[in-house]
Amino acid sequence: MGGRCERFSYPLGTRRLAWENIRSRPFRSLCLMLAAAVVGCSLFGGSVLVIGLERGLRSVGERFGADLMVVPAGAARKAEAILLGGDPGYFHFDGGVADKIARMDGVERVSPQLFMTSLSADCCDALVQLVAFDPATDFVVQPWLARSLGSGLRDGEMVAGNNILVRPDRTVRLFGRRYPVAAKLARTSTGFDTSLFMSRATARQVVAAAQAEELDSPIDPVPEGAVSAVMVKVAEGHTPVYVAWRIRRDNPGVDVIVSQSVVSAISGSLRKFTGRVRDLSCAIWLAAALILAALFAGSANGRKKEFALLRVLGATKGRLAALVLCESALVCAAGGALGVALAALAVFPFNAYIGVKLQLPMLTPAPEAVAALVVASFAATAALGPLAAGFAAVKAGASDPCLTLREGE
Amino acid sequence: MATPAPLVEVKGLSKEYAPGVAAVAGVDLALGAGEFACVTGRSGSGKSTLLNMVAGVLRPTSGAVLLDGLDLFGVSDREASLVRNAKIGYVSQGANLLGGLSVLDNVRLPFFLAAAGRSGDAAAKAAALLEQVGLGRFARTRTRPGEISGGEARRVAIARALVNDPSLVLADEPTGDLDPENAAAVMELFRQIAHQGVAVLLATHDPAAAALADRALRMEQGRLTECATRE
Ligand SMILES: Nc1ncnc2c1ncn2[C@@H]1O[C@H](COP(=O)(O)OP(=O)(O)OP(=O)(O)O)[C@@H](O)[C@H]1O
Ligand SMILES: [Mg+2]
Repeated sequence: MGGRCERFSYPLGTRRLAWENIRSRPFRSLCLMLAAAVVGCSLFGGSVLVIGLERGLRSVGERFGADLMVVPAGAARKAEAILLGGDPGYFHFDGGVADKIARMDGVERVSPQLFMTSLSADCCDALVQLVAFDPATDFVVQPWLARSLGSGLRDGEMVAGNNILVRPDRTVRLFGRRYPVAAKLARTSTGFDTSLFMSRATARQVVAAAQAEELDSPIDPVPEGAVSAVMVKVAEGHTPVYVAWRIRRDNPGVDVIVSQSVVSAISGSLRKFTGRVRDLSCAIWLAAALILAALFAGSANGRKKEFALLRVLGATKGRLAALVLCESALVCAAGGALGVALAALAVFPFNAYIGVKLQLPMLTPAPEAVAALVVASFAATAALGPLAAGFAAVKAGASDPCLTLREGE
Repeated sequence: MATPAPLVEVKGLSKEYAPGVAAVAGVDLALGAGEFACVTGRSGSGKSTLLNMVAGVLRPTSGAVLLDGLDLFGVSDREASLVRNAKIGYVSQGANLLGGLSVLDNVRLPFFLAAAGRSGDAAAKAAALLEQVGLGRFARTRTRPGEISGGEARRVAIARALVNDPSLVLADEPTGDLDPENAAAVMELFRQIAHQGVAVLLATHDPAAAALADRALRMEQGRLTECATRE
């Protein structure tokens, strides 16, 4: 007979007793598990969102590159939209401003950029922002291009933002011509994702070619010597805001964007949002803890007879408490795993969409960060069980063993 | 025959559920290893109350229960629990099986409630005990307590009481819902256990069952009297 009962001879330790109990009350267990899943989902989803947004903001700060951006008067809003919102646009003013600013006190470097837009690129269904920089003076685009390229950009070559569709032969088509793509940038969740970067000389080729093609949607003619923006690096020891004020004072036709204030404006609204997400997650966790505590206590009440019997059979109070804690930990761990998985399914595929909805740059956290969040969210949810079941565990231990003896069958 | 050294000593045991009303009043009893004693008495005379106290489960109003010299109500709850688990097999008046566990798991449950560090799984032992109470077929199935009869459940509880090789077995109406044939088999089992050196104390209404015991005790309004000692 020994061989035949082997099938049933798994030890009946605390964990298995807890498991048998969970199994024998499927509805109750399922409800508890789903409650825990909501917690796991909100913790993981919320933290991925918060960290993704913080990371997005950091990338904006990094890519902005210049301390100040001087644009034609009235174009400041448009320029911000180009940089942050990925809303392509164009404007220009006389490039002579750049030299004037360069000579000012407190200005270390200046470099002009030219913005153009193109609808007729067949790489994308939306407008593409063309950004031309001056390789000789540029200090904004080239440093991070160099990081991904390893070398400078050759004439005729372009660098594509992450959302630009690059053909398999590593070219993009613009106004009927193909241009080689030297590199594709990582996602930034900013306007750079829908931009094509090139040197001023390449931009001139693009314009000339576009005009030669006689297209339906011709590119706007750019007056010789015109620029869209002058990027300014402020010298050590000078405050960007003060330099900006002086530039504005001395050049009536310009607007100055201070990158610090742009980033801090975003980070202000971001902080408000992430704060709300954090508060909500904490509230959900706390509410779940209280509700689960009540449910566990209630179920301990309903199981008085069972606990009493175990006491009669010689289970110590500690053993009963361990049983209740183990049960709640198993249920909440299962719920936590489920919740984290559901949140991952919801957050990752729609990451970009969520960022657009919130009108904030959003980047998926790095894999290590995601792994850490998975572990932390899961642990916080699993810990919810034993925490909430603490009172129930004490109650179970205090069961009067005589209860079982009196009521009979 | 030399009197065996008392395994269980009950001294001046009383229980008042309500002040002034004693369900058990000043009971003294000594029970040696291998002794088979049977308490009879009217319903409400205090038999279950006495057994609950001797089992260490119901705290007496006054008096003491010593098992192997250890005062069950004078030690810590933890120690008392472990003694209960290791040395006392109690078949209470209701069968009280755990509905979520199989019959076999119910029988071996006390094995796993022991202090930590036990090896083995008691499955073979539990199966053999089920065989002894005539329920060997449940050792090979996943049958749950809800699927067996009241008399079968009672016998499962008896098997459960024996799984840890207790030195004291208490049984409250163990034959109450059994047919004469099974009742006789169960009584025979208790006899055998007593012969192996276990102290057995039964409470029953059944005179036929009581006649099988070595010692007949009578409970009347909470007082215990010795009827006769058979040779
Ligand atoms: N928990 C309790 N609270 C109050 N009174 C109780 C309690 N348990 C038993 N009693 C009372 O104590 C007395 C003895 O009860 P007990 O259960 O010990 O009798 P018994 O001899 O086992 O009866 P039966 O043969 O019907 O099982 C009864 O009068 C009963 O009403
Ligand atoms: Mg009774």
